[in-house]
Amino acid sequence: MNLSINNLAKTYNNGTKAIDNLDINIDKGMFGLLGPNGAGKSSLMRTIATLQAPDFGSIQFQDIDVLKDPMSLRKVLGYLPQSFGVYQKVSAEHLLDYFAILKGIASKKDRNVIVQHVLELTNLYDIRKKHVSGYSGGMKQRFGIAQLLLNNPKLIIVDEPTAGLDPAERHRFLNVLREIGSENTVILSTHIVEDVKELCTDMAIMNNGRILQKTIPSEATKTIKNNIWTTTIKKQYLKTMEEKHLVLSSSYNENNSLNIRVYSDEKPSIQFEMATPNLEDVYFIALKNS
Amino acid sequence: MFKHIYTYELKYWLKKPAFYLYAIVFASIAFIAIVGTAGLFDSLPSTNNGIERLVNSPFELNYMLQYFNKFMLFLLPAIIGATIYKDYKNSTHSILYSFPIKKQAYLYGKFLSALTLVFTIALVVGLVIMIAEHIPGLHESKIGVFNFKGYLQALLVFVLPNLLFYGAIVFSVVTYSRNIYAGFIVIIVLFFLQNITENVFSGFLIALLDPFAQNAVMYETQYWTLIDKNTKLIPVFGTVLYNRLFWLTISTLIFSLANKSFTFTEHPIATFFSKQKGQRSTKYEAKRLSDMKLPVVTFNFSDMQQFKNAWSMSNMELKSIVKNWMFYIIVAFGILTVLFAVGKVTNNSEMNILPVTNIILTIPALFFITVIMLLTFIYSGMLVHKDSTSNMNQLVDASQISNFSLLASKVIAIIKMQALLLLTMMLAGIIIQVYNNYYHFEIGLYLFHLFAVQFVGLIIWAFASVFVHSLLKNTYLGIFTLIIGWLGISGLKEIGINTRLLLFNFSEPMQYSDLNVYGNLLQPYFLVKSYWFVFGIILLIITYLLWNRGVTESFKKRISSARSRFFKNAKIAASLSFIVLIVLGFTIYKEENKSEELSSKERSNAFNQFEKDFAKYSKIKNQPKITDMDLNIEIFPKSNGLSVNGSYILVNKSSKSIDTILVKTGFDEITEFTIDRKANIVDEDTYVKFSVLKLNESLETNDSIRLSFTLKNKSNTLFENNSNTLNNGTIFKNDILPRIGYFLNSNQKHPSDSAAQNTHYYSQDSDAISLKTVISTSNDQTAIAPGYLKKKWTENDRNYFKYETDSKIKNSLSFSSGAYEIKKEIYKDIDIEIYHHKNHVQNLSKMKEGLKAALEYNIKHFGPYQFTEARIIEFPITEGTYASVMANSIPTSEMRFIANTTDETIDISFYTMAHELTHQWWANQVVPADAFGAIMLSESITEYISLNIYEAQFGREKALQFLKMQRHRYLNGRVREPGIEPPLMLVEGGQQYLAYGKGIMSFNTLSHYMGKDKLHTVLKGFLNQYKDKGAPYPTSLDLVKTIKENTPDSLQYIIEDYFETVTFYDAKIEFVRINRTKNNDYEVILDFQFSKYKDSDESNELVLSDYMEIGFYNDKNEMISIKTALIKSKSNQMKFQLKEKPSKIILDPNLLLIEKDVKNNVLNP
Repeated sequence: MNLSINNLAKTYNNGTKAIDNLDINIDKGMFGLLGPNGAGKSSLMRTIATLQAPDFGSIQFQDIDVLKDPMSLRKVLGYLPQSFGVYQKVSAEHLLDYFAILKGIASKKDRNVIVQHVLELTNLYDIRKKHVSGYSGGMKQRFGIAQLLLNNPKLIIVDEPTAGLDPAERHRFLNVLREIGSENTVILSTHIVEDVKELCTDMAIMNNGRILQKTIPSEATKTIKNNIWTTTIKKQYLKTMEEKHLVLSSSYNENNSLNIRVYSDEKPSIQFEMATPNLEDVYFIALKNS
Repeated sequence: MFKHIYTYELKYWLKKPAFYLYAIVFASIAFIAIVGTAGLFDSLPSTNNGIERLVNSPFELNYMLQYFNKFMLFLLPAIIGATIYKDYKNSTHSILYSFPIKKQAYLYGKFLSALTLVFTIALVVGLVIMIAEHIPGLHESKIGVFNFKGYLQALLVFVLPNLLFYGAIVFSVVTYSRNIYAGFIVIIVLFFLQNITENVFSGFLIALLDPFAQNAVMYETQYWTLIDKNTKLIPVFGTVLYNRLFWLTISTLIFSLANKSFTFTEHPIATFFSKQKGQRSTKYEAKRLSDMKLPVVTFNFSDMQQFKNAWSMSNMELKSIVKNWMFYIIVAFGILTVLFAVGKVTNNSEMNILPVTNIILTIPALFFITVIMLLTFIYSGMLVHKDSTSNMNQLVDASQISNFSLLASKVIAIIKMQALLLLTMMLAGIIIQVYNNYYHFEIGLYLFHLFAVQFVGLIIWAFASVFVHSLLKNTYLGIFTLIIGWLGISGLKEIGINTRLLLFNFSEPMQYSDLNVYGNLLQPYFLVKSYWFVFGIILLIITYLLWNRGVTESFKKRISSARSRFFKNAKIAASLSFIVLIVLGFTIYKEENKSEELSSKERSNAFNQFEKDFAKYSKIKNQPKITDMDLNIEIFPKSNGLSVNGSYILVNKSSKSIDTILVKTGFDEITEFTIDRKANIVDEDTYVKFSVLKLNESLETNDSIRLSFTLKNKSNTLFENNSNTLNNGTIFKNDILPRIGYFLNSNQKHPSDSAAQNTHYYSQDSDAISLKTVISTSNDQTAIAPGYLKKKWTENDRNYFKYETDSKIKNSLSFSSGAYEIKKEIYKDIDIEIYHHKNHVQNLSKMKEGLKAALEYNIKHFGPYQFTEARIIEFPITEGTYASVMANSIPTSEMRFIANTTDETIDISFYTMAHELTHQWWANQVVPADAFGAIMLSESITEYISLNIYEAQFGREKALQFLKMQRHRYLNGRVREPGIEPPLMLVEGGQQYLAYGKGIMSFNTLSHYMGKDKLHTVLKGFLNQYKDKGAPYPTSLDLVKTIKENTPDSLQYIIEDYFETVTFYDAKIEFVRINRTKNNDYEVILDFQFSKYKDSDESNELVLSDYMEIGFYNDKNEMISIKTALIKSKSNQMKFQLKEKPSKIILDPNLLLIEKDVKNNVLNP
């Protein structure tokens, strides 16, 4: 269940280098691809999902050469794009049946069984007769997962699936993902650190079309164990602080003062205290260094 | 704000190639159309033609621009609709509508900018036409003085207002529905609306309600002569103005409604049928995750499964089409048009016919099939772009479905939609038949015509549509391209591209006949269709190769990915299709080039040349006449072959010797002839088939020679039947046989020209002839020739018939062969036979009644019938719709066998046969001379006698109805007269309205006042004077003279007014008083006006001493009394004594006067 990407590149007509000579290896399990908006995550996801041809490079999943033989990959692929629509006035049940045909399930009986199953799995069974176009954001994302599961995929790509979901929906959604991630290769692209923290066994941080850092979430915090410092300042001093130190993040307190986190090998000054590093720190360090 | 939106939109469109494409397409079509009609592609016209129709007259410009305008309307959804739709499509509206934009600025900015663009295109077209009329090389006779006002008028009154009105409606509808296709529907509905108003209303209402004002122009110019059309400006301040105001009001109303209901909201305003009950959606907690193991299912990616997938996916696609209300609106309008079209073709001006299946399958079906085609154009675009429009393409494209299945599912869905609609058409047809109490359902014919013949063409269009839409990202550009392409195909024909290899999916409509079925048209039809079908398959293969999967790629990328897809199956399919295409194409090419048919241009050149070179022979009038004919005719129905060998005896009946003989042989036949006397061909046109023979030794008076000939048809090709032989129901006439004399410009003499009386109207090369015919045909058919059947035998598995005439007949001959049913009856020792198709039995007894009544009446009044037989022989509708008497046969069109005489109108079957048989006296016993007025002697008298027969059979009421129809025929016909209407006694061959319509009224009025018996006696005397006498033949002047001599002075005015001049009457009731008298009677005092005037000088009222009848009716509409008044002045007051109180008074109740307006002849006191 190994996905290996070598020397992949894609430049758009407007000159944007979306993927910049990228190499990465992804193994079985949940893989989080973390990066800010515009980092090239979606371009990478689309390219892996055979929807976009790269300028050069190679993508190999198990023994499938994805670029040469996209159809073979599609057989084992489940893809949930960043945003998608559906046909008007078609119920979830019918639309899933349609997707089941698209995914090669020939027998009507088989289709009925699996559609019912994925509906239950994604908790859409009660509203299966409603038009998908009328679903709320969370319901629609779960529908996306439902369609993705139909062909029992080995490689699952979900592109920013939690954006715009309320906490409860997000929680539900991640639970579903977790279950299916245990047996397969799941690539979850997101800009929300929490998602990765809660879910992923492996991760990479991406920006400007390149992988900045590939790591394991639990390990990543260990390497900066003694380097994260925090203090509270008045907000007008933020600028001076940023000039002096590598400020990773800042957050307001109730009294309008700021909590800042700084990366430093030593204690920057007396007012700082050592903080327990978290994944967000790892993310920001990677971005600041790039 | 408005300014910003306006300029932003303009800039947006000016950057798009589509805008320029639209402009170029329209400009070039306009250019080609103008220079084409102005004769750039034609040869020079012959010089002796009269006035030409000018291409650049205001009338013609207007016609042309209005025509273009109709197609420009499709730009409205593509530009005006799209300009607002794109905000919805790109979801820009959800952001945009939250901005502080004023609603009015937004709507007007968008609308007016788009309107500016559409106006620009229209003006460009106008400009291009202006340039086109000035380019060198056009025929000068077709180009008049440049008239800028004409352009101004056409653009300002019609073109631009139409774009404004319907642009506003399209904009409103798209804004309201947020659906671009609704805009297209609006345009289609407008087209239907025009069609429907034309069918439902009449006169002024059509003019008023026509959305494009074409009928308003027609209404205003209906009485225009060619000179008017070449010079006058169209009057716009009458009907046209009302029409424009009407549609301005409608569009303003719709626009302001849309404007009012428009709000800056995310979702469209709910329409009453789309709004669903509000439901509260409850958030529920996640259930425990069930066991993650997905059930085991089998996946199938076999090739077979790809087909199956395509099939089942197509159902989903089809549902998305038929779930849409727009679909039903178009279908409903389509059915309505079918309904009206059926009404129109079954109640045409000639007669009412039954709604038989093959009639429903002609024009009405064609309408509906056009609808199916438009829907194909629209919905194939929707389906091809459905995934990306709904933004579901990433999900679909990442699935393992093959491109083949995706493409095939859309093609199949369109084809299924077509099938569904064809079925709808069939059901609509059957329902219309049931509604008209017609129960002979030919389901087989419906199925074959719709699902075999028409379906192929539609499927080919489905292929092409999917191809075009998959190439073009923009759906409306795709629809537009397809419509232009479809219309352009007939344009290709116009500019001289005639080969079927280039006219995409083009075929002439096929007329089905019960007798001859499709003739031999099916085989070539399906050959050409298979060629284009394979072409369509190749288009689909290209579509498959270029199919866009995933993110939309540039065209270059698509080509390069197409290369990678081009292997295995695609390669095999492509090469196979290509081979088949070449083979089919070559077959078509070979067959097309077999026939040496000249193009119409070359043909007219050849005839012009002939007229120039051979005109000198028109002076040779003295030619021998045919007295005897001996024919041996072989008809081969299966191979459509015909061969004739025969001989004529030609006699010099003149007092001068003849040394030159002019022979014209059949144009489409290969004829060889010899004469039994030494002669040389001194001049010859082998194309027109005219030879000039110089006799070595001239032919003296009463001397005779024999002309022997053989003829056969030019060999047939798959596309051309060069013989008159049909598979069943063959009919041909003596025009294919050799004829003697110069044949052009006959029937052009004035009756006072003494030369006119030497030959008769029907053939100049004979007086009356004896005819012997042996005619043979296939073993399942009967062949019929003029004369009586003397012998019948079978030889070599063919049927032979020998016919001979007992007495001499006119040289108007017809020959038939078919598998007929025969209905026989003997009446007064005369054999009545009807040879007909087995299903056509509805009118047989009525036809027979007509024959019998005519025999009875004519024998009684005018003497014996010259034959012992009267045969009616049916021929296919494809060969014409007439009935005509030829010796003892009456060839009668299939159309007359399906006449509908069940309703309360004229019994056309009875009448037709009564009329045709009466011709045996009036045309065959008395044969008119070859001069103007000839058909007054044949048609007018015959029609008048038919009226009497009709009255004897059906009574006075029905006869009056018949007369009323004939008056209508006259008044309607005369306004379409291209020249100047002559008086009845100088009527020309083509002026049927005059010979029939006015002729019957004239004789009827005369007979009414002078007495029927008296007129009959005069006619009988005339008949006996000329009967079977040969030359000199009688002219109309001879008859008018005879009648005059037998008419009292008081009625002489009728002859002058009705026969010798074109005169109209006008009678008008003004006032009536009714007084009770002492002895319980009623005194009626009537004030009325009466006048008559010559058509040429309407203002000059003529002196009166004329009769008019006045009818008095009681409240049960029964006639109380009818009085004949002699009228001497214009204003009249007359007193009448009546026993009963009249409740209705009618001037001229018996329709004796020729009046244009009879509405004011009635008064209900």
